[in-house]
Amino acid sequence: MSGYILKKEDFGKFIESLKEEYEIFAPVKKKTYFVFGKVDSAEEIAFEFINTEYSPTNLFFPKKEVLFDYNNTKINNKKEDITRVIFGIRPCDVHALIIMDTLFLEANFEDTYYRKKRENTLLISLKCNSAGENCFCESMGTDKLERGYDLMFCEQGGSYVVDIGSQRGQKLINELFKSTDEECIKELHCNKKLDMQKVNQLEQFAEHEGWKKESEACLSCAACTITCPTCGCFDVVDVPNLNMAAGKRLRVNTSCQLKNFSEVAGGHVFRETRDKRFKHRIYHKLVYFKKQFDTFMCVGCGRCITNCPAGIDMVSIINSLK
Amino acid sequence: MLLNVEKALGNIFSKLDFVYFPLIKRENELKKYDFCFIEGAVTNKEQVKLIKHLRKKSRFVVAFGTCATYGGIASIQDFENETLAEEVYGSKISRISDTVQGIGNYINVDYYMRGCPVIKDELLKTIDFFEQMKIPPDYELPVCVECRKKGNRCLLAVDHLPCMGAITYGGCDALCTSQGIPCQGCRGPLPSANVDARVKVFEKFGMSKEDIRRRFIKFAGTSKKFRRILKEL
Repeated sequence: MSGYILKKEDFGKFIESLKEEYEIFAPVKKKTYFVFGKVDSAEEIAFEFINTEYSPTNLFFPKKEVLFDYNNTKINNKKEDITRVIFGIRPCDVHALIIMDTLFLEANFEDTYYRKKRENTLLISLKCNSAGENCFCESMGTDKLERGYDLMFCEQGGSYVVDIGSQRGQKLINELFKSTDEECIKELHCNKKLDMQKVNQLEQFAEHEGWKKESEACLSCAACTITCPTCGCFDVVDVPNLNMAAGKRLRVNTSCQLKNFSEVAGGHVFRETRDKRFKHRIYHKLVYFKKQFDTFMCVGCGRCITNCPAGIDMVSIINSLK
Repeated sequence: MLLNVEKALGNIFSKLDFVYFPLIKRENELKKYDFCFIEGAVTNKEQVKLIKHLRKKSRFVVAFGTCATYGGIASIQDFENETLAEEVYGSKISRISDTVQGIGNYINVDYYMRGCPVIKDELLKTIDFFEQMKIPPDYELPVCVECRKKGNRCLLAVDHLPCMGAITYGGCDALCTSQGIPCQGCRGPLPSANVDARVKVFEKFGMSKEDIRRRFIKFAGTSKKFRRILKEL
């Protein structure tokens, strides 16, 4: 597909034209950090972010979601027909959504709640200008994006070079865009590098004493999994009203870093010690998932490193395995 | 706190018959109870006798609030030296309380309803469970999980504030941390809490030993987890 170009001064008009049909979500500044939020105009959108504190996966897979509510024997499913556009999603986070698709759409079971949100949402990706201190997408190969987006914006001088990724994306192109031969020439270089040779040998290190040592610093606060764009483990809970006849069923996000995550009836806990839980996250992202679906579950966004209160850095831990 | 659940109050009163509740009733009888909510810490021998009596007469005993669970703020006195008490009260006044402990130190407790104050939803949920003659499961999640779910930024990792969230029982829906106030740990330490790592993180961010100690004795210094670390500090 041939590329298009959009002048920066026309960007506001483009957002206005989107607003007629879609709800727009984009990175907004919240105190000192950035999160995805609903925006009404282009002025609200923040561009100076490296990446958002929480991943846009949350917009498809909320941390707390009402599946349905019930009253006696009646079940009311929530209807969601809003069509949304997510602007400013980084390539690594689009990769994360592709991974979530593998799990929740293409694997054995289909998650209808996820599918609905996914189908109703258009993704306008925004290429990174520079890498953050904890980004290691270059090592994971997620800095480049070939599919999964509807439009891809790339800041170049006073305008955006726009690449079209889908037919739905093509429809968003209006008279504000001009045809061009220009191509996005942005190359990203991350300072942090994950040693992929070590990653491929990770299975040999399964009983390594380093895991126990490193896990002693872990607070088991689950920040790494909650901010991870590819963590989708959940628990289903019923919240009945006090009269017990009516209530709602919720899906809440949970984490493998918590002790009760692997607890079964009778009280047995499969991953009772901290080092087992600590290791499990890393192995799931880099070993188990790869075996099952032939792709890494980690997209190298570095959120788990940035957000860890104990300063645990999975990249340096893996690199230093011997 | 029980009287504070306005909307559900009618519902509660239609389900439960309050036989002993001096705060709302003139005539109170001491007989047998299905559920006994004990509020406040135990500070002297008479109170020990009373709660032992209540235990015998009740099917379920609930420690209501942080004071009943750990001794709460009042238990700080156990960790301070005698001279401080003398400075405040003078040497002539005889104090009626000696040690401040949670009720779990003296009797078997079926459910600990933590928090200062107790959370409304948890109270209603507990009553729900009791109605079916069940004991609610312990809510073993750190405050961090709820705080993160609300989309907050970590007060500890980023702002280096002395937040106790990671080692503290959740269930409060991250009330304080959502307002930018670091968690004070009012709900006490989780059984799986990594207290040693927490001390190291505090030290790394430049807190003095005395400050860290104060952090731990504030609400739940009498808990096993904190008692051990307080000896080392």
